[in-house]
Amino acid sequence: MISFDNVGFRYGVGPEILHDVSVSIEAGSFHFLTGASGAGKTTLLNMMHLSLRPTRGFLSIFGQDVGALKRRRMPALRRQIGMVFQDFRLLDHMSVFDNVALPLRLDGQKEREIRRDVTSILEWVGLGDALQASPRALSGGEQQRVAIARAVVGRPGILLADEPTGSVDEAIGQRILRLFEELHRLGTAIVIATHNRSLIERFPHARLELNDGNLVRLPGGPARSEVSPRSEVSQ
Amino acid sequence: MSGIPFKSEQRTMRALSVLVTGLMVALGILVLAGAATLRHVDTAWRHALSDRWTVETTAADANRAVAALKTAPGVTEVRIVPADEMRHLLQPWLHDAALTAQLPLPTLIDVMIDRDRPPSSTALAQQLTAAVPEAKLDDHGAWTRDLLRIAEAGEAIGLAVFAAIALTAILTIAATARARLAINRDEIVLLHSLGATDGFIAGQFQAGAFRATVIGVVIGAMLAAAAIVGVIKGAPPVIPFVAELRLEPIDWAVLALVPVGAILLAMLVTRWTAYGLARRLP
Repeated sequence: MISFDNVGFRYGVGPEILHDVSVSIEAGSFHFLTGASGAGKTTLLNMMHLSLRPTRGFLSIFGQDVGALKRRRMPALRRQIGMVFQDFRLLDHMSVFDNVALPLRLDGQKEREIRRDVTSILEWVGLGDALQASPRALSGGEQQRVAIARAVVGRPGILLADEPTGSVDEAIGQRILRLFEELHRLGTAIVIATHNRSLIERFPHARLELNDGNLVRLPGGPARSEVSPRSEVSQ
Repeated sequence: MSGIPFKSEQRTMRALSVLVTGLMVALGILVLAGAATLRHVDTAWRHALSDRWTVETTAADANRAVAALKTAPGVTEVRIVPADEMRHLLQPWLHDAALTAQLPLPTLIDVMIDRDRPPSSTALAQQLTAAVPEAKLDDHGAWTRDLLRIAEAGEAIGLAVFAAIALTAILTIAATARARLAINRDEIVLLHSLGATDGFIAGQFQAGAFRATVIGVVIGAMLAAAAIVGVIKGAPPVIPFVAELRLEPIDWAVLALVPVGAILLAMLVTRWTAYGLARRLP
């Protein structure tokens, strides 16, 4: 699904912040991406989300060589990847419904299907009564759930989440993690960047830890976590 | 694909777009109408003066001068201008009927020239002075050339100003599109991350600009049309030197193309600018 092979990355002419990252994220897997603040978690997620390209090495997403990927091919590939941003990135001038409908509208789906899917996904995240609400009127946890609904409404093959519990309390954080677990059970590959150790301990999936730009695998991984052999070693 | 409203499609931004577009279109139409009018004035003067020369003489010599002119080749008609008609012509310039009536006037003879076979003014002057040595032939060449040059320059300046307005409009539209993209930068990055193409984002900006552009263009065109009709109707007393200000049907057709062109130009520039900037965003 996503394969890093000796990938390095630097911003402009600055120092390299990711070194020789080699890992494979397989379909249906669940990974926590951990590391101290500034370790490069968001950068790694952005590369998985095609917002950044490797400065060296080989990165393949859904079988496409990202280094050689033409810009016009990126939108279709991005629609197969769901992304939950740390700061939610909801559009305040649009309703909750319209925020969640965005990926489907960009995909050109019919309004009837959009209404059905968006209503259904918002009910799934527990916001079925907030369809026409403004995101500004919601709490942080509710906004995070809207962001998750938007990320998964298009049924992506992989869901990336950047500190999804970073701005919510422990209870809401656990509820959000359970949503991710449900998605995982439905077959969606999940990668969650987080530094919330208590949550990681409650949901013991495979961990990829970034230390000074080097990616290492740490023990964890119960039954549903399937880390490929290539991800076991990095550096 | 359904429309996705951006933040900048708010009242202030839209009002500014309507105002700027309206002003540009009104100015463009007025300048183009002015250039067309000058072209008609130029043509009218050429026609009026190219086949009509004037001889100045005394009342005593007038009949001899007429006789000499009638026998000259290329002359189709000769007529002594009545004194009343001359005073009538002078009236708008002097604004004083009593003064005009007392003014000593020379005798003027209108000489109509065959436009297809005009005589040489030098040869005709020689033939005339052979009969009436004191008579003076004026083919209006000296001052006509200056007037026509002024009219031509005015027309050229009008077209240049129109081009400058069009260029300013392009730059303004591009700047407005850039401002809207800058305001909505985060939304564009988000839309990209959700799988939006650069063309889709450019299309959204184009659609957002369309309504404001059409409203501005309609208001500008109506204001310009009202101004043109007002000037044409009020022209004779306002500009006594020009007998008639008018626009031909073809001129109105060209002026009608300005609003259509303005809408197309605004849409193209907005799309082109938005597409170029969207491509630079992640």
